[in-house]
Amino acid sequence: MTKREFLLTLEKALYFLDPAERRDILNDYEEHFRNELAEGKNEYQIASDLGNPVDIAMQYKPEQAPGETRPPERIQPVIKRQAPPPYTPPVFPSARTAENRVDPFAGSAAPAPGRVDPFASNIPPADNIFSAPRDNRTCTPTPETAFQQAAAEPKKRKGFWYFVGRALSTFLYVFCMVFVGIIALVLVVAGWAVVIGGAVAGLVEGISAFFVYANFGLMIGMFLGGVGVALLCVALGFLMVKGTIGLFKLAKKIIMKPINLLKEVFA
Amino acid sequence: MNSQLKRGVLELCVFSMLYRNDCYGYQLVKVISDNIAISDGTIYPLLKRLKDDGLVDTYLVESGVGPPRKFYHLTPKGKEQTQMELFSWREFENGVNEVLKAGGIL
Repeated sequence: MTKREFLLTLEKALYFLDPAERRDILNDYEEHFRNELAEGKNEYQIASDLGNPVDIAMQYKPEQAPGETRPPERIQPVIKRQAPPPYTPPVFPSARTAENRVDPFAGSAAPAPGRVDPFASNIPPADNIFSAPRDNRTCTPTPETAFQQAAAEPKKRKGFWYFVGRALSTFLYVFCMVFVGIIALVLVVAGWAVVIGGAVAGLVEGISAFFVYANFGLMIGMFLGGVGVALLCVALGFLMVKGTIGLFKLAKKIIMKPINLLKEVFA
Repeated sequence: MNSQLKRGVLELCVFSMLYRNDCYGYQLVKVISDNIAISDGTIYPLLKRLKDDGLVDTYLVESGVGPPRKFYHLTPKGKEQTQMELFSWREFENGVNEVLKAGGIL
């Protein structure tokens, strides 16, 4: 958000104040921007440090009586374009070990009697939660989820009627699909006949034009026409391949269906 | 942090900054947000609320560059409030410390 977008959004969201008060508040933020810019920050950074202008505006609302509820505010921020914030490489904290740890309670009072001070260096490493190996900590294993339990259970044998039902439905599926497939296959074969026939006829026509016609103009014309028809048929064939890929996939699926069922029965 | 608690603590921070010297808004925001993890925009509404409650006063001072700066000044009522909040903060702090001691981590 730029300075302008921030101030416009804030102004819009402060609709419940009278203009003089609103002007006064906006002046505060304008001054904030001025001061921050003078310190070398950019507008996007300043706006994101300030926070969401709509949230800020809500903090100017007079306190509401307990129990009183208002409908949620719907104010769209005025944003025209979003600039990515400057990239700052993340700083990862180094792993905490017994050597580099900082004692946050250094100098504080001694622990209550009967308690082990986890920061004391004189206690044996096995009892020190910072130096004890992970396995020594007492952890209760998380209970398995129902899904994991179900996955871990051995599979039950499937009954006779299950396979009868599966076989019947598979038979119906394959029967219907083969019926549809036969029609599709006839159409595809017919299509290929047209494509191949057209391409061959066009080529033969185009080449034979050189031998048949004595008239040069006619010869060239017939040659170009023939080659054109051949190319058109090849293009048609290309489209048909693209169009029938789904059909071949379906055919593979139909063939695999009874095979899979047989595998399941004999597994 | 609990927002109600945070608001009270921020109020105390603002009071303590204004107790001895008057400041302008940006100074307060800088010092507080450098030390406490809050967004910069939280302080200005707080200052407005304190002004509406009569705990702080504002006056304008001409600065060399740009428009005049708005300075904040603690009113007698605000000073009284500061003492009260400081007291309840001490009480709260001691209470938490006692609990931490009882738990054995302090």
